[in-house]
Formats: sequence, structure tokens, C-alpha cells
Amino acid sequence: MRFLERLEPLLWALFSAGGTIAALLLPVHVFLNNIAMPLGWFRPDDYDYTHAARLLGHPLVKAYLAVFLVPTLFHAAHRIKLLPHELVLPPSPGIATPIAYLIAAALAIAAVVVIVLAP
Amino acid sequence: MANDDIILRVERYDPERGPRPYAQSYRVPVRKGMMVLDALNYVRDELDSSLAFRWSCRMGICGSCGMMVNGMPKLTCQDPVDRYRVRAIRIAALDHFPVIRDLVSDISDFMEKLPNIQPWITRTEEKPLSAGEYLQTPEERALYANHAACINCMLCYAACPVYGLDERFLGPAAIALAHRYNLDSRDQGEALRAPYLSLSHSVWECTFVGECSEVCPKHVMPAESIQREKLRLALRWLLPRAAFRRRP
Ligand code: SF4
Ligand code: FES
Repeated sequence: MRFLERLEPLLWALFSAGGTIAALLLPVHVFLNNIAMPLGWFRPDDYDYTHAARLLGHPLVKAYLAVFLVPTLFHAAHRIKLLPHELVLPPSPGIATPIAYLIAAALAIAAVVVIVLAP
Repeated sequence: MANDDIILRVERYDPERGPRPYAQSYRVPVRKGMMVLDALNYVRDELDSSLAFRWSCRMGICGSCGMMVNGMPKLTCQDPVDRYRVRAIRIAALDHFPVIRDLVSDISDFMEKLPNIQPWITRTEEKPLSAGEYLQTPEERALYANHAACINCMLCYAACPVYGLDERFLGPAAIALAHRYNLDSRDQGEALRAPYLSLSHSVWECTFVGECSEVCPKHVMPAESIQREKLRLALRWLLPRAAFRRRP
């Protein structure tokens, strides 16, 4: 836990950045993917596989996705740590926090690998 | 019962009488402009001299008269009785602190934490006396002025759910005070305060509920200072040391 304590400033920075990014960008993605697309507001070939794959090939899109996903995952881990506080329950058992961060780190690495390797 | 009487329902505790708190009610005639503290003083002077509570200045300066009034932390000398449009007002010692007796709380936890944030102007290089005093412009003073208004009344600790769950949390007023000195143009102690402020139970524990700023009678805005200290500490961690020039 001493190790986590040393990382607190970094973890909070990721939490804070992730919160801002999630608040600003998630609604846009929810709108695009979950409202606009199902309602057919785009032409089908705007979002078919080849088009999406070509988009993902662009370095700027890769960078955007990494910046979008990594802090958001750490934001989620931090939220899990704070959940008992926010529900006015006793603090979560010490082990829950490192597990949440480990999962976030694993998912972040997986996301970055997928983004980098994508066509 | 006279029409303008009010009932004070006081949560009392006397360790010599037993381990459990008990409620006692007093009927107090309301005078114009009466504060909750005036009502308590009426009780002590006229009805029951055994009731224990703290106060001193009666003008919102000493910070000793904080209590829970109808469940909210209040400076009782600044809390008009006629704000409460009910017959009975509940009064208890501040939440989240051990009670010494009746309405007197034990705030030694705060007093023990306080020196760790070095709440005084810290210089790493002293100017010689001949160079004169450390001057400050009105703008430089305005940067920290509202954070310097804290009277250590502990209302913010009584309002903070995080402190209520885990008293290891450094808490609002202490962090606001650290922030106040970090903002002071005459101070050079930020680097000395940083290690203590970075501990898990210091700033990071705050979940920005904001109740502390809500109840603070002096508009110290502890919630905001905690978030600002988090940002300063995070930048301090992330950026190279050279980014933090020492103040002259
Ligand atoms: S910050 Fe405000 S509420 Fe807290 S102790 Fe200081 S004056 Fe009281
Ligand atoms: S008696 Fe001094 S602040 Fe209330």
C-alpha cells in the first residue's frame, strides 16, 4: 500500500483527467453510437467495417482513442475506490483499491495494444 | 406557555452519570434578536447551571460556540432563534468529535494534526533585518485572504461525511490553512508541506462533497482549497522540479 500511497498524485491526476474527458466526450460517443447510428442518421457506409478500420489507421485517431480510454479507465477504478464513501458506508477493504487499479491498468494496456496494432 | 417561548431539546452527556447521552428540554422566553447561544445562556443563568457549553466572543470570531442545531453544524452565536419556525430546537455537540460533556466537544484530533501542515510562514532563506519587512501587494494578499479567515470552529469537520467515516482524514480546515500559506507570497514552505499533504489520508481522501464550504461561517471555501491543493500536488509529482521556482 505504501507503493500506492506514493502514486496518489498520479492516480488522482488520471482520475481527474478521466472525469473531465468522460464528462465531455462520452456524451458525444453515446450520441453517435447509440442514438444517431441506430436511428439511421448516417449513411450505412459511413460506419461500416472498412471505413472504421481506415479511420483507426490514422495516428491522430489512435492518439485520440488512447487519450480517451486510458484516463477514463483509471477514473472508473478511482470511483470504485470512492464508492463506499459516496454511499456513506465504511471504507472498502484495503485490497479492493489495488485490485481496481490493477484491472484498470490491465485494461488500459490491452486498449493501447489493440489501438496500436489495429490496421 | 407564553406564545413566544421556545423549547430547547438539548442532548446532554455527563461521564460521571453514565455512558449514555440523554435528552433534556428547557423552555426559554424568546427575546428580539435572540441567538441560539443567548437561549443557552438563559438556560445556564436561569434554569440549569450544570449545562456545559463553550463560547467566548459572541460575535463569530473565537469559533468556540459550534454545535449541531437541528442537525446542522452552526455557530450558535450567529444563529437567530427565529430562523427556526418550530417550537422545539434540537441542540447537540458537534458531530464526529468525542464529547467531553454536554455540548463541549473534544477537538484534540484536529489540534494534533494541525502542526503537520506547518501553518505559519516558512522561509528557506531569510532576508537580513536591514533589508526590511516582507512586503505584499493588496493583490497578493487577496489571493489567500478568504482562506485566512478560518476561526477553527470545526463546523466543516462536523459536516464532512468523509471525516465522519474515517477520522484519519486530515480534514477541511487544516488543508484550507495549508493552502492559505502555500498561496502567501511571503511563504517558501510549499515543498516542506507537500510530503505530508500527499499522504493517503490527507487531500486525496476528499471526495468533493462540498458540505464544508456550505456550512463554513467565514466563507473559507475549504472544499475548493482541497481540490486546488490536489492539483498543485499532482503537478508537483508530474512536472520536473525546475517548474517550481522558489519565491523570492
Ligand atoms: S474552514 Fe470554516 S467551518 Fe472550517 S473551521 Fe475554519 S471557519 Fe470553521
Ligand atoms: S462565541 Fe465566539 S464565535 Fe460564537
